[in-house]
Amino acid sequence: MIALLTALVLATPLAPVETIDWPTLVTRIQATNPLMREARAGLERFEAALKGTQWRYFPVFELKAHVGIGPEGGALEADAPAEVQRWGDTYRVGVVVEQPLYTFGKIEGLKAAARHGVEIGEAVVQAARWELIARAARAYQGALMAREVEATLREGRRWVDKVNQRLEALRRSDAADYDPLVHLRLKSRVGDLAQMESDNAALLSESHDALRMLLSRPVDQPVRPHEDQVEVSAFALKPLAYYLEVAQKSRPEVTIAEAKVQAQGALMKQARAEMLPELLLLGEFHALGSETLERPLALPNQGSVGMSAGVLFAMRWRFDAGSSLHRSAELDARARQLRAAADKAQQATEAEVRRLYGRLSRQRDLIAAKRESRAAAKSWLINAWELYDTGFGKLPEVMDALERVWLTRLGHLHAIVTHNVMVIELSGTVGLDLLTAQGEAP
Amino acid sequence: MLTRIAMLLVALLSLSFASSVQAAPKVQAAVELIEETSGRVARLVKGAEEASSLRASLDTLLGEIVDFRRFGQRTLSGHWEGLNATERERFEQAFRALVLSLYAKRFTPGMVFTTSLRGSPERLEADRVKVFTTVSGPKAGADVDYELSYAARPAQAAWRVSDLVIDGVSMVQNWRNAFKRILDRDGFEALVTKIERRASRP
Repeated sequence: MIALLTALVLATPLAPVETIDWPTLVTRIQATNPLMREARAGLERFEAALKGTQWRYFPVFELKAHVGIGPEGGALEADAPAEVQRWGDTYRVGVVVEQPLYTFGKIEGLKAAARHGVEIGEAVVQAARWELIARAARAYQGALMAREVEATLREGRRWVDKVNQRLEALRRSDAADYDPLVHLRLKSRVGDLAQMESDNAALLSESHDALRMLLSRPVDQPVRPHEDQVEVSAFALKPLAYYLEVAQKSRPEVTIAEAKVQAQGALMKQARAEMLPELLLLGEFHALGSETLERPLALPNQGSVGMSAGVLFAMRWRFDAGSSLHRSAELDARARQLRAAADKAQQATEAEVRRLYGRLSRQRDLIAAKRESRAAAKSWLINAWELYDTGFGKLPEVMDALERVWLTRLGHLHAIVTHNVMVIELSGTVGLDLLTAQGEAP
Repeated sequence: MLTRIAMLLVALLSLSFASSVQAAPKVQAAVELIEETSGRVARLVKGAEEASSLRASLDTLLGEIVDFRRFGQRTLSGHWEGLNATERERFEQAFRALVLSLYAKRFTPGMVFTTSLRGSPERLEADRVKVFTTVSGPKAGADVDYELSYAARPAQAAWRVSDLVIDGVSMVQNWRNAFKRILDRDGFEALVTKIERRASRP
């Protein structure tokens, strides 16, 4: 008893379940999810590369310094090594400064490629954003639907239990009204109900887990949707041509593909510029000295003792014809490859927009039809039960009606959830938030 | 002579016109009846403390506004003409008790709900209209449409309910179908006995 009480006292209290609404969820996942962090880090790399190209205009410094010990005179005479009377230190310092003056487009090419790289990085961030929002929509809508279905199935279970109890009472009293086949008909439906309950419990659990993981929360910090019911997203469909036009400009995959083509063009210009020389301003300063030397003396491979400095215009040119031609051909092929990929991305975009648009345009009518079916099934059940309960109806009618209530309700909810997720998917496909851009109630 | 005939014709035409205007009952009166009745039912249910007193109050109220004779006659369409006056009276009373028991079961004492008109009323015939309402409450809701017939009887309400359509299902049609099975199989006596037995259950 004491152990039990102690365990109860020491037990870690369950974390309260946080509820979150859709706009807050969308904002938070973009801040915390690893997919977004990865995409943003990629963008930062491209931005750093762009900044790096700007430093190419600045001078480059090279400093060499040497301190050592050398003999008097600076060299040993081969035939009189023993005559070296004194050793002393030797120092040598050299600074070379290169300031690019004109690079025939090399730096500009690199900058242009880096700018397109930033465009790619930004589009990758948008693609990641829409991928996350689509995942969140599936999890959020799934959780809402599962919660409503859970209530429906609970109500269904109550009906089944009520009918079963009545039949059990008739069976036990050996009533003339008792029909064992009708009883078996009911019992044969119990497995279907259990399957629906199991599938729905899995959907609920998986949706909640998905929401938690999208927010990068540990398992002891559950999160649930704020709303109670599945509702049709407020969204008015515009003509197909509008979405096709927007998608070709804003869809991240299209932007990435086009930016890659542009970046490749810039790299090709830069590669052509590599075949040309560079003009630069060169400055040098050298100092060479030793405590063992008292007068200017030229040292082998070390220059003259003393200081020297100079500034000159220089040209640097390294031309490797074979490599240049090979690289040019490779870049051309790569450009054609990227162009084809961009065309493929545009075609895929058009196909996806048409697919989603077609389905979405039919979905509203489907929702309306399923809503009518659901209302009719509910009315069927109530009236069938009323007739049966008063002795004027048949139980199989009630069971058929009950089954239709489950199926029509599931179908209606599923149609709404499918619609809502497709709105998000279409938003991601065209690269525009259609809910906030349009905002008209259905 | 011709002038007298013409004046007589004008007078006759005016009289018939006036009669036709007077004979067409006003739809608005039917709407007002439903609005008033719905309000009374809502107050009764909200203020009720137990089921039996609620049932008694609803019985009185329904007796005022429902034409059980016509309601029952429609559910026995095809068989009504073959019944004598005693049988018709017996069926009407049994059917009234059955309707009351089913209607009362839909309400629990203290339950709160509101009724609002839905769309415009529809005139089905000169003396039949349909009024559309929606019942809303914290626990449930339903579309309840009232079919009213104009009963030109003295000292009675002009419009009286002759059918209830709940969520698209007409009580007349639903019960007519169920009663027909029993009538065809077992006859009128078996039907009315069954109705009386069921209506007497709590």
